[in-house]
Amino acid sequence: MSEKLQTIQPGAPGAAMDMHEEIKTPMKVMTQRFLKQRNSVIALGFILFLVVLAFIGPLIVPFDVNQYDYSAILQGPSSTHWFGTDEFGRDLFSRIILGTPISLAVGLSAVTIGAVTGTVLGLLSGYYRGWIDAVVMRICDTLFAFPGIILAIAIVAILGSGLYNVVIAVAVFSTPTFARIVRSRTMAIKESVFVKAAINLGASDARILFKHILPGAIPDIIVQYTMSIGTSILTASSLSFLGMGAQPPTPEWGLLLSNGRQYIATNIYTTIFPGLAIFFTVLSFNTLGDGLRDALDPKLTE
Amino acid sequence: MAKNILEVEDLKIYYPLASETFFGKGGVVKAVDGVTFDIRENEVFGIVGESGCGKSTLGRGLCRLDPITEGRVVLDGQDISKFDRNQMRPIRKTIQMIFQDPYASLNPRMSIFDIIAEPIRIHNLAKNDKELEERVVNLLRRVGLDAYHANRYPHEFSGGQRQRIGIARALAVEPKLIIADEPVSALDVSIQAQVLNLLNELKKDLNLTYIFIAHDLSVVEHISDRIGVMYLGNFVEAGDKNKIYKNPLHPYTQALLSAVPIADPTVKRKRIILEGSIPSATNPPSGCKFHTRCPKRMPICETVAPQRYEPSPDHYVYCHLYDDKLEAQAAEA
Amino acid sequence: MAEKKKILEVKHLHTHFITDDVVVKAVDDVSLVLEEGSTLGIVGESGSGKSVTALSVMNLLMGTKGKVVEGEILLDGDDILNIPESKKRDLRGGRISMIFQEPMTSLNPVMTIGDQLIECIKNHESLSKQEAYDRARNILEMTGVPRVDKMMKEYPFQLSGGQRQRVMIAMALICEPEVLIADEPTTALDVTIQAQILDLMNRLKEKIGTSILFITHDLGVVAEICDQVAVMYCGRVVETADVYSLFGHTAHPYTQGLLASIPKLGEKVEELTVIPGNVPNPRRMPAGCKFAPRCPHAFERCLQEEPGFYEVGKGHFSRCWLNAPDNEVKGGEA
Repeated sequence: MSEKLQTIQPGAPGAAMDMHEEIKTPMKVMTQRFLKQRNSVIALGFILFLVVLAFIGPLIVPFDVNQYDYSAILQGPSSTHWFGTDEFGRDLFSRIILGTPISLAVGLSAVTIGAVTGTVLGLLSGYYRGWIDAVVMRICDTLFAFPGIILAIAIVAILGSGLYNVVIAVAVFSTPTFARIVRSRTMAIKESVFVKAAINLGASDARILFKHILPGAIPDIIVQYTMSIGTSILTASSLSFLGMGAQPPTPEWGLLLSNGRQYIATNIYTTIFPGLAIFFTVLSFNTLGDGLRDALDPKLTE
Repeated sequence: MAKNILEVEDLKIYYPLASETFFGKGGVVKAVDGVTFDIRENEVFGIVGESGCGKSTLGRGLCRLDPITEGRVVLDGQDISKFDRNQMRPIRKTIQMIFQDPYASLNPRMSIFDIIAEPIRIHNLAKNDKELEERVVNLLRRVGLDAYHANRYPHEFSGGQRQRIGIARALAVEPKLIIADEPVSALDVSIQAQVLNLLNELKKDLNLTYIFIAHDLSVVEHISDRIGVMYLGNFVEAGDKNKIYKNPLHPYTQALLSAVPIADPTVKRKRIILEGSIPSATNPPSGCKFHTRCPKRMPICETVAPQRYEPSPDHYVYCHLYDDKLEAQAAEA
Repeated sequence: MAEKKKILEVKHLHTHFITDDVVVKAVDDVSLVLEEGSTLGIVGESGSGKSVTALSVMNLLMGTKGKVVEGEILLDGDDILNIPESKKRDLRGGRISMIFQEPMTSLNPVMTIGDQLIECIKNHESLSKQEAYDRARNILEMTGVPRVDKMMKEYPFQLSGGQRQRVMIAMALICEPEVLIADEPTTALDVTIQAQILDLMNRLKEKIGTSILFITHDLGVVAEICDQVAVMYCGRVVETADVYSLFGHTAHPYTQGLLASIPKLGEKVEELTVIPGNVPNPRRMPAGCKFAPRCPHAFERCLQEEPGFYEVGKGHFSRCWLNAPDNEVKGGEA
């Protein structure tokens, strides 16, 4: 459809450009496109807010993370305890805020490891094909056969509970997704005329991979990265909920949710607020990913 | 006597069809099926033909972008037919290529500076950054662009400008032979003239030799010194441009020239309309590949492929009509 | 000589594209006349607006950001612009048809040729199954394809480029339209196939009585098959004439430049005459004559004021100050 629009747009783009016109780097074009999407910009704002919160949380929370107060157990929201208290009288609001860096750290580190591993595998299998491709793809197929959460549970069951192992588990199940995406992008770009031109100029494989193919795959990687963070946080929370991830008294959101489960009848807020925290965070990352995908769409070549 | 910069002997480029159909393995596409020619230094050798004739594959084969199945390619005295990628690397300073699609041949994520600098960097042709910058700016100016264009990105340029950038990139290694694969086909008519003039100018200033591949016969006539007409993987006629355009000998060349629309409504020509369409390159006709559509075919054409005849100096034709021995036989009969 | 009926008239057409930051005037006051039984060529390069004009006439701008903002389009005297969408749909393929540059993208890959042709008829006329089949077969045969019955059952991917183009022509002509719009129909074809297709279009034009609006950038093709020509640049018609006058007594500098810049068979020039510069950026159209920045004959007035459309011969008009009658050019020097 955009093809058709292009042929009937009059005047070649940049036909008569002058010296003083601002340079439209691909980065600038993408940024402008991104900024037009209100939802994604709001999502980005929320995420940045969370990041800031992760750093300054300890400085601003009204109560300590483990501040017991047996006189105030399982209370609903009040002026002192904005989100209420849990079964030990600990302030839920503070605990949720202090749980922010945990979720973010787990999400980001797990996905980063998965992205880097997946990208390397994808580049190699897409470019060289042959046996590397066969081996990598079979491994990915196997990993894909399991629903992510089941795989994560299996890995944590083998390695043992705890947040470090959650990170490993999520990294493992994110890798095949990145490998697949990067592989198909690699295969596509490898066929393009400018890569043939580079080969013709005498470029080495390394140069082609890093200067031509990888930059072309970056948009896809970035979009998948943001989407995967959402999944990763959700998985970490789920594992903690099941008792396999973070251990008490860590204020990890999934763990808070799990805790609150027992007291639903008495105080429903102990489940609602951690749940909302997870919900909005994951939603923001997904919305950000949507916006990035639209902005980075390779209609960039106009 | 001008030296030959390129000598091609019985070059064949076959490639297997990728798909295996339900009904058996796919065949082999005989894209270039035994091509022999020489190119003299400083000349422009035009290769013309319609789709499927193999001219683009031939161009890519000479650059070793497509693998050669059989035959010899001797560039500046060196046989490069069997060179692997590493051996080809230094050769790529001698032979370069300009591509057809100005929109696809430049990496959209690289600045013009990086695009032109790439070959210089690959071959270490600049001692330091300052020299690199000088070279890039000089190349830009040489193709009619300006220094300030270097910081910009391909999407900001028109088709003609992108093609100039592609030319600058090819010139960066100071090549002797440039293979231009349909360099102006994708451009507007008025821009074609600009780029053709530029190529001409560069040839003279830099002592270049061109292989100019195109389907537009008027363009090829304008820019070439000698030409080759291709059909289904072979030359059917080759040699001095003037001789061929004034007096086309091969029936295909005659039909081709008669089909070109002339920009003059007062000229009414009799067109030679060929029957049928171009046969498949996986299963070409026997004997002379053109016999299925040739208005002048003879019985021998169906079984025996014609040899190369030279009815006049530097005018070669691959057609039984010009076989002296046959004529003599016919005269006797 | 009796004056021919104007089968298609475009009057002061304005088609604009509304993008985020700017309005692009793709077609900026274009008027055309197609006479019955003749072929009108529209020549232009990229950015000239020739394709957009065709799409405007066919009303195929939905889904793009383009919109006809002003003008009149008359088919045999009937207004075809300000009518409800359903009536416009009826016209397409019926009274007025279009063929495109890329036949593969216009043909449905999962329907046989025969079925697609029959569908065309069914959209406009109610015939029995057999009648429809016969009509389809007939028109396909007229296009000169070999083994017609076999092809009726084949799918587009089995056909060559030239054959697909013939099928597209068959589909366009099956309902015997009054006007056929051909948008660069032979540009993607080999020159020998192009010759066949142009020949075919001429023959069918005679047989069916369709008038043709032929859009192209190739002046050779124009000389071959057009009776009248309109040259477009930057959304405007800059010259219009019958084909002999256009080539023999070219009036507008742009047309002159185009003719001079194409290599011609048999002609020997060292250097081609070139139109310098590029087509202007639609976001920064020059004031005055749009061609002035590139025109070898431009003078002061050209840069400030747009010229009118002046008569230079019978039916021959040019949008250039050089062609203005003397009293209009007062104050400007050549």
